[in-house]
Amino acid sequence: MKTFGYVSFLNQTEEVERLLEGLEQGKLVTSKCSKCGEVYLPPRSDCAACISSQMVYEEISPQATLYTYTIIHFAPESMVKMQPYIVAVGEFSNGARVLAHLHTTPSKLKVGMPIKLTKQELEGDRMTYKFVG
Amino acid sequence: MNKVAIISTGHSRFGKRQDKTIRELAFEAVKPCLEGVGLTQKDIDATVVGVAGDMFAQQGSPAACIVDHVGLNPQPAYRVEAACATGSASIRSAYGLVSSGMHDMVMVIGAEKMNNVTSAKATELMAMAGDSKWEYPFGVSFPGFYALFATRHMHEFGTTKEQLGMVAVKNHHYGSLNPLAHIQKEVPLEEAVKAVPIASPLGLYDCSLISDGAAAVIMTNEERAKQFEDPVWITGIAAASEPMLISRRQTLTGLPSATLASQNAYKMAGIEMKDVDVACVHDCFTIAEIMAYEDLGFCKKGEGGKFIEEQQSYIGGKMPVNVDGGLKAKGHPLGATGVSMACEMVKQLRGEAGKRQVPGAEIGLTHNVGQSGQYVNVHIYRR
Repeated sequence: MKTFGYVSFLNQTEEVERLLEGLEQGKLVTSKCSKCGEVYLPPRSDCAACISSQMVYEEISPQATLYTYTIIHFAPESMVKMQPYIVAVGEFSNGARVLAHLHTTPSKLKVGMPIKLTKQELEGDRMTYKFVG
Repeated sequence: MNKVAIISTGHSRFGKRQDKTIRELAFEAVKPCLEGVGLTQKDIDATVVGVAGDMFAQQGSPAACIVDHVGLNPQPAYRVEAACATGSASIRSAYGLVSSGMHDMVMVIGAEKMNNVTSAKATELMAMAGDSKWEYPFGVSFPGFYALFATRHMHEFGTTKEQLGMVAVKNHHYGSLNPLAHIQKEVPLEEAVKAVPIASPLGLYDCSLISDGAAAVIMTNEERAKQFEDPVWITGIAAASEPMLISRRQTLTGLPSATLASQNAYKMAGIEMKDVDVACVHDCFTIAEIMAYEDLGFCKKGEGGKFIEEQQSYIGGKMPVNVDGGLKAKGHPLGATGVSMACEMVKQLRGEAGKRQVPGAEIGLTHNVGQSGQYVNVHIYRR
């Protein structure tokens, strides 16, 4: 299994692996609490709403709209070589939002524009997700 | 609960302080705090130390080091951490110690040494306070988080880059009147608006400073406070929190946690917002001050931009805000900031703020935010 993210320092837990497996197959996977129905995107292994760990993984459409964004010109040290880059929050049809880089032409940037979450293969056997629009 | 007062304050000069490490900065605040009211270390029953990042100070468990350096052994001491709200969280902790009757006289020291590392490293350390699973891997700087709020606020309410710049202009104006401020010069609006982009739409002058500094207060109960001149009472003290992920927030045009904390603080103090005469709010970025106007009820939702444009947050306006220069110009040594706000309130309510005095101020408010709203403390002060 690949390692998640441009940079990271955590050990990789099950829900991250499930998300990556989904992305490899072109799917966007959420986790849903089988006790109370709370949906998590990115997925979580534990439900904060009802303190259960009985999660089921469900696919949703990767189509989203741009909720907000910024262009990072002065990056944290670990990401300096990538700057500038667009960090965006996209909103999905179920109301869930996700933060990721957005690959688009800066002149097209507009809150509300349609975007889509897809996988992004990275060097060093890593991968992440990105919005394209 | 027993009533709690601040009877003394001490404040180091804020700035790029390569002449001191965190312990000497703390000493600079503790000495006037004790000597100002004729106390010695033996009079202090316990110490709460607020330091946000030991990786900044390059000292693990910095409280022990600070308490030793200022001679507060062998009394009990511990550290409080709540990111940029560390200082106010330390005051909250001390309030609990005093109001419960556990200790009579508690010293609170907030300190941070941030310029031991490069600004790229400082940006990295602060980014590590973003969610390490889902945010840090995308390189979201702290200006980046607040830029996400700014873009959304501009989209929903038409807030402009000029209005953000006006916050910087005001806070630099008042910073120029504060001899302890990190930057003591006026900044023209054009310079603020055209500054180099950091995380668009935020530019250099929309961001607070990476500062070194310390502040201290002594807190005590009603019986002991009566033995000192001019105690300033903490009459309202409330806190709230937001979800960790920026993407799981109810809104990105404000902090509902700040609204909740302020409403509870007003209620506890038995006042309404309009009774407040002066406020220190958490202007880590200019957009944060505009959102604070709205969250704390100084103006209606969405009208924060107009509030600064009409100069309502200047002395003489509806609510003077950050007349000490704020985090923007006075500086933002993380752990010191919340304690520094308390020091400013004591000065203002005692009429000792000099050129930046709000005439006749009787009730003050502080609003100190950790990270991007994960911790919010609102305190009400009264003479």
